[in-house]
Order: sequence, then structure tokens, then C-alpha cells
Amino acid sequence: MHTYIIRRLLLTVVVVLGVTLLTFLSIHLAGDPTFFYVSERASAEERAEARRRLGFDRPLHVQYFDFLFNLARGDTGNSLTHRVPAFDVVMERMPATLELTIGGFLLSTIVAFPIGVLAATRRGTMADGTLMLGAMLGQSMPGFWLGLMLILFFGVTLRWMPVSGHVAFLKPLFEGRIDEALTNLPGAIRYLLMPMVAVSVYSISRNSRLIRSAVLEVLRQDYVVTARAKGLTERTVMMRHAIRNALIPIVTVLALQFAFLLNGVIVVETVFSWPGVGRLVFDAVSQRDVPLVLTAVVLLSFLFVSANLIADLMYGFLDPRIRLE
Amino acid sequence: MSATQEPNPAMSESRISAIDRQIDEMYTPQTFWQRATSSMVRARYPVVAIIFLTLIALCAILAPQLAPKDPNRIEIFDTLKAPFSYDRDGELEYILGTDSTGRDVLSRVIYGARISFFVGLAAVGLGGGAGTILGLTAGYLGGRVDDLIMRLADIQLAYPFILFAIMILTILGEGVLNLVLVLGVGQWVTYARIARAETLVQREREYVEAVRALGATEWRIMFRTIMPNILTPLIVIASFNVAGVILSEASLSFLGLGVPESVPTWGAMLANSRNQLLSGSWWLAVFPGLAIMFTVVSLNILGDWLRDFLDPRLRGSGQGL
Repeated sequence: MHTYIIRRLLLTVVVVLGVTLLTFLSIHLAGDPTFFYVSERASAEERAEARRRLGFDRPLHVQYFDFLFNLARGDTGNSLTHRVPAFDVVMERMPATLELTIGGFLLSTIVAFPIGVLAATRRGTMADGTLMLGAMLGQSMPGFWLGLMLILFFGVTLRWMPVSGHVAFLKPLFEGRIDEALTNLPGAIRYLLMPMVAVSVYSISRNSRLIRSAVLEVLRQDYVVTARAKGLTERTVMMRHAIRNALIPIVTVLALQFAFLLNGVIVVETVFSWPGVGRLVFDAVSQRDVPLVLTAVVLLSFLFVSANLIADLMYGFLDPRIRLE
Repeated sequence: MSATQEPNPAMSESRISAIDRQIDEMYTPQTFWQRATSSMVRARYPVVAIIFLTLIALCAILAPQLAPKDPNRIEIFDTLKAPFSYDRDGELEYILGTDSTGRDVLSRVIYGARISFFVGLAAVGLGGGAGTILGLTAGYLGGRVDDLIMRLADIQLAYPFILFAIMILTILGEGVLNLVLVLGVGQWVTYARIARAETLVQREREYVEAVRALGATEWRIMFRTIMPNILTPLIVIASFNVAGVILSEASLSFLGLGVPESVPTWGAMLANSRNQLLSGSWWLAVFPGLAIMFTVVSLNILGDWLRDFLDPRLRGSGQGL
């Protein structure tokens, strides 16, 4: 187990270095990155001066190590549009993004589980067919489009739900204001509901299909046949023998899904004007605020990598066969 | 399994002849295409999917001929017309309505098929080709090359793709080619991992040994001998992958990263629809979204069928969908 954890941690370090290197190199892709930091009207001297000030005249490897050290100190330069450290701007928005990601993750797990198990136990019936057709459709629609449709139907036509807006829950919680967080909770959930559905529709669909095949796979095993032959009730066979063993592959997939959800969050935040990092990236991209895009990408990648690491460690913990490999 | 059993006297004549027919079918040699067609017809859904995809492909190829109007033509007197709007002469003018600058939604949806199809196929071609070659090389040569390629793959897998795409497209700027490049680079890892795993198996087979004994070069063994034998799972993945890339392209266009404003895409249409949503112009959001969903669902159905037909081992392995 220890070697597994150590190997996995080492890989994470390599990955983090790789991610920062890729991000760092990408701003040099288009040639001189000074271009992003000075106005288009700047003279050649002004540009050269900015180049020196920003350190882009030094060798690439020196710049990269500098970038790494500054990153470790939380210094990634000032945002060009906000005129304050980009790191702070991103961290300010992080709780809202986490709310949406965690909400979407919980929803996709809670909904996908009964769907998958139901479809597997009723294999070949009308219920199975309908659920799996729904899952197929859910996997084929862009989450942000579902978001637009939800706004149109529940927000504009029926006027049941707010079309945009946000009540902070995690931010006061992180800052130790627990009372405020709790008072905010009902409002937070109300605003969270539609974006959460839009973010998780793909995961719900994918997870229910995976859970269905995992349960079906287990139902084929000899020990299930034995359990049935012993005369156990179908309920006991399912609960004690089938679902328990099907859990191992499912839990891994669910944990990996957390990281995957981040992809959708960025776009869905834009649809609902959600004040998170995704919306921030969208604005930063349209204003060509490169330091801000860079910081947001690196910080979100760290979140993604950590979620993957936790998923892998959990996998090793749950399934002893993985550790021995 | 019932073929070896004694004939059951209780079995009706028609049942026996039906079984006879089945056995006949089983032993009548069929070409690949005959088997494919009959399996497809039996599954029903793939036929619908193929018909729909053919229609969309026709839209993409014949867009200038099929579109009733110029997709970029602005009509300031015809803004936000609802679907099935008639003009003063009582003629049906805007079947799917117009947007906030009076551009014809139907024409834009038809033209939008071009980008989705082209980008989907080109990015998968690029990523699939590069991934297959890298995976094959890693699996066949092993050692340092293998380590290097697979660690690169690990790093990329850990990097959320959309962030990578946003980063690169912000730096490089918009353009169809940049979009294809970024989406292509995003796909290679899946192909590389599968190609590598399959190569590791094929490498040890006797036919490879035989070709080597005949004096074939390493190059020839890799690309002429092994490659044809590892393609099946890769083709299955590719069909799902085109669907995935079309979804990614829509997301990026929605964010305003991708192709210039003058090129109609489904994703960009949805982005523009956002501001008109509260005033109730539902058609702007509904039709491009439906176009994306039906295209992607058709590709996924086709992928499911292709997997079951070509490589049933992959079923339930979490590959593809």
C-alpha cells in the first residue's frame, strides 16, 4: 500500500510540473508574450522596456523556474483588467465554482445510482429501455444547452426559478462565518438548482449506464448464482451480494467524475452568470487578460489533479488487487 | 446449443423450419457488408442514425444550395421573427425565425453543420492518427520511448481539456485550423493507450514472428503487419470521439473561442441566443441545440452498434460512451 501511495504521489508531482510547464510554454507559443501586457499603440522602446520589466528577455528555463517560485508564493502577476493580483481574483471566485462542482457531483451520484440499479435489475424491460434511451439523450446534449432550456422553461415561461444570480454558501463557511452560511443555505440551493442540473446531466447519464453494466457484470458471477441457489430472496441477493461488489468500479468512476465535472462547470457558469472561476475565465478570454487566464487555468488544474489523486488513492484502498500491481 | 439435441416431437413444423433457416443463415458465407447491413437493420436505431447523419452531411456539403438565404445577411426590419413567419405577400419566409439582427436561423443551422462536421472529422483524424502511431511505437519499441510517450499521456489526462483549449486558443487566436489542432491534440491519448495495449498483445503473436523471420524491417512489421490488426477498437473509439469533439467544439464556440464571428456555428448561435432568452425568443436557443443533440446522439448510436458489431469485447468496459 505504501509503495502504491508513494508512486501515485510522485506521479502527481510530475503531472503538476508538466501542467505548469505546458501552461508556461503556451504563452510563448505566439512569439513574444510582451504583446499581451502592453497596449497595441506602445512604441518599440516602451515594448522593450516592458519586456525587460516583465523578465521576458531572460532565457526560457530561468523564466520557468521564476514562474514556479512565484506561483508557490501565490504571485502570478496582476490581472490586466482588475489591476490587482490575478491570484487573489481567482481565489475570490473559487468557492462559487466549488459549490457548483460539488453540487453537480452529489446530484449525479444520487440520481445515477437508483437509475443504474433499476435498469440492471429490470434488464430488457420497457423501464430499462426508457431509462437507457434517456441516458443516451442526456449524454448527447451539451450541458450549457440544457441550461438554456431550463432558463427558458422554468425561468421565463413558468417563472418558477431565478434565471441567474447566486447566494454564497461556501465562502462564508470558509471564512468561519458559520451562522451566515447556514442562513444562506436555502437561498443558495434555490439558485444552485438549475445550474447544478445542467452541469451534471452528462455525468448522470454516463454514470447510470456504467452502474447498469457494473451491476449486470456482477449478476453474471458464480457467487450470485450460488446465492440464488441457496434460496436467498432476490432482495438479499441484490443488496448483500451484487451491489456491494459492483461498488468497487462504480466508486472509482464517480470520484473521477468530480474532476470531469469541472469541464462543464466553466461553460455552464457563463450561461447562468454564476460568479465563479469559469465565468471569470470567459470574461478574461474576451478581454485578452492573459495573466488572469493563466492563473485560473493553473489553479483549476490543481483542483483537477487533486480530485484525480483522491480518486486513485480511493481505488487502491477499495480494491486490494490494484495495490499489488 | 439446441442443434445437438434430439428433435423435440412437440415442436411445431414452423418452429423447426425457422431454426433451419437460422442455421442456413449461419453457414451461408456472407460478405462483410452483407453482415453489417443485416446486423444494422436488426438493431433498427442505427439505420435511423445513418439516415439522419447523411442528411446533416448533405446540409454541410450543399449548404449554399440548400440554405434559403445568405446566413450572414442582416435584415434590420425582420429582427426576431418567430418561426413560420409569413411576409406581406403571404409567403412563408422564415421557417425557423430570425435572430436579433434579422439573420435567417434555418440558413445558419444548415451552414453550422459545416463547421461541426469538418472540425469533428478533422480533429479525430488528426488526433486518432497521431495517437495510433505514438501508441504503436510505444508498445512495439518499449523501453525509454514507451516511458516518455506514456508519461506525456498521463500528464495530458490530468490536465482538464477545456482549460488547455481555452489557454491555447486565447494565445493563438481564433481560426478553424487552430480549433482542429487544439481539439486534435486533445484526443490522441485515448488512441495511444489503446493502440499500445493492443500492440503489446499482437507483438508476441506467431504471425509477427513469421514476418520477422522472413526478414521484414521493423518499420514494415509495425505499420504493415501489426497496425491492421489493432485498428478495430480504434475505429469504434473514433465514432464516439467524433460525437465528443462536436460537443467540445460547441462549448468552445459558445465561449467565443474558435472560428471568426462571420462563420455560423451551432455553439456561437447558442451564445447569441442567451441575450434574447428573457424576451422569450425561444427559437434561437432551441433549434441549434436540437441540431447538436440529434447529430451527437446519432453518432453515439452508430458507435454503440459499431462496437457490438466489430468488437463485442468492449461492451461494458466503459470504452467509448
